[in-house]
Amino acid sequence: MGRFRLRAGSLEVRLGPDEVQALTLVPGLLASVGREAGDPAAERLEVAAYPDDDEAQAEYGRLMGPELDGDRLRDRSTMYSSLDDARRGPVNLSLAEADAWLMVINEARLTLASRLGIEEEGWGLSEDRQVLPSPELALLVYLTEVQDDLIGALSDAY
Amino acid sequence: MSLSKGRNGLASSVSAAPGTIRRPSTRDRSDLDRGWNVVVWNDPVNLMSYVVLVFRKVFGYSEEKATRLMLEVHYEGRSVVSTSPRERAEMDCYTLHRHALWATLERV
Repeated sequence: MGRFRLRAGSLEVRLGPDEVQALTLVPGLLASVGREAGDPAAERLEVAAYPDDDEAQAEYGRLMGPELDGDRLRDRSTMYSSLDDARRGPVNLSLAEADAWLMVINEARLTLASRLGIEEEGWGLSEDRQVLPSPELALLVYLTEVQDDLIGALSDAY
Repeated sequence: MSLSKGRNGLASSVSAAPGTIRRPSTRDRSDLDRGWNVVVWNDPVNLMSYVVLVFRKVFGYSEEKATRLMLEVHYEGRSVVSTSPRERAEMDCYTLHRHALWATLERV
């Protein structure tokens, strides 16, 4: 049986203890974004809507920035709360909660990839892409597998 | 974007085609304000399947249309995924940013 199964409008999540343990690395990872100057993850997660118009971007950032931060914090809180429940067995997520998982896992993947310096496609082919094996790459590969499963389960929901 | 599926029990991410990332630019935009395009740019990490799902969810596009736009992003480097008045375009761009897609706005 897979990790995720959509039925009756909710998503059933079944994770083994090792998987829950791996996913508990996500909160610390995302909390670290932007703590150090020049963190590429912060740049990747804060895309400019108006990259060539400073005035428009400043206004967009003023209006949307706090909302984006708040939404992301809520998404993360939703995921971490249900992840805690998943320690005790299968959990059922609403579609909104499943969406939060999807977005948070993606943020974590982008954070890892940007810090690993991944700028070209095909990074999974490590033998010819010079992405050296590391705990961060292992977590990125794992989160990619989880996200792939989650997308597959949610594809019938929309 | 990456196409991911486990091989030999391991997840991997493989490129459907080699390519470099085109950086967003809005300098070529017209002075005529006929609306605003929401542009999604290629990146090497977001999964193709994720991008398709986001397009379907955010814009209500069919699987076919979402896939066509995703492939345009992947092969052309960018795709105009919607056109609307500025306020609506900004909200759509915001929603795509919330999903961590590389989205920008440009005048039509």
